[in-house]
Amino acid sequence: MKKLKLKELESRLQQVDDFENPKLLLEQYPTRPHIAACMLYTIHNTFDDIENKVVADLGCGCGVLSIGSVMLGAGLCVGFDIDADALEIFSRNAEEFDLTNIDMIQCDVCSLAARSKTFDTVIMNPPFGTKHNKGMDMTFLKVALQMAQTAVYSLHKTSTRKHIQKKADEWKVKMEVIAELRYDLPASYKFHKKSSVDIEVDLIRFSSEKLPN
Amino acid sequence: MKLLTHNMLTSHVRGVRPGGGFPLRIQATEVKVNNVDFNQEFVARMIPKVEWGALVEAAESLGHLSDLPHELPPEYENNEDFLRKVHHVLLEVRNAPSSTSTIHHRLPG
Ligand SMILES: C[S@@+](CC[C@H](N)C(=O)[O-])C[C@H]1O[C@@H](n2cnc3c(N)ncnc32)[C@H](O)[C@@H]1O
Repeated sequence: MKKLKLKELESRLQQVDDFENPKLLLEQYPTRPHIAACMLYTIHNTFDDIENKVVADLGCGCGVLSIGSVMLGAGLCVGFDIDADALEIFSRNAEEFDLTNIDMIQCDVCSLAARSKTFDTVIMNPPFGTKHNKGMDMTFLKVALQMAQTAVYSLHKTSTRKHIQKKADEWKVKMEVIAELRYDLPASYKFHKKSSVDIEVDLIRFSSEKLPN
Repeated sequence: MKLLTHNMLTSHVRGVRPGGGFPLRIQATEVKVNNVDFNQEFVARMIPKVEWGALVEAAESLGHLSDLPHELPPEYENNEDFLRKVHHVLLEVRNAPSSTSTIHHRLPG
């Protein structure tokens, strides 16, 4: 696998199409190419959790995280999303980049029951649970932890860090904030007057305490 | 859906047969095959994770058994010929129902 530079990854991810008519209730906003590239690059370089791995992307939307994972050498990346329109765009994106190590499944992540620990890594930008779907981020996290053998990488609002830490302790998983990011959320998600607002977001790595690494 | 994905999402409760929901029954509405680059290391690493019996069954039901043996052969790690067949079945063959596969109602939970 030839080494892909961070800048190059970011510029390729800029060509990924995103939601045509974002559905507010499903919290459909994409991970920006810059954030997606930094995130994936760290996961790859610092933790080696992408290359030759089976990766799941929960709430994959138009697939920017899946596509980036495959570009960094994932053996297979499977995207899951409830919305057929988003998956349609994802599928066009994958075709345009000529990526074949990608699979996608339309389903409600909340009722997903995979065989335990079959994926190596889960990478996701879950709904934050701000749209009448309180606790959605934690439901996604719970499902992800059940699917991943090695680690789960997820974006969460910094303001909820304490709460997440409590849950992580309860579930006996190790939690590490590996980056603090500023995320520009379309204003509609915060009932704000400005066209977009920055919110603080943590990139968190969750892993099982018992694992050797 | 690729057969590797199918295998990983299927619960293999012994004694429970298709129709009861386990393994996830595969529908051969439309079978597609596309080229995926062969990655020997990856395929060899996937084999112990896969439920072999269910994989063979799924491949057979799609008409792409591709000479896979019912029993996993010993020392397959360096058997390129065998690994290429497994690669084909795991990653290149997929069932493609006309719409995107909606599987949640067939999964437990
Ligand atoms: C914040 S967006 C992230 C999109 C994409 N992963 C990205 O990074 O650009 C959240 C995604 O979760 C999906 N989603 C929301 N609720 C879901 C559910 N219950 N099951 C599966 N997907 C869901 C939405 O359709 C949306 O695509």
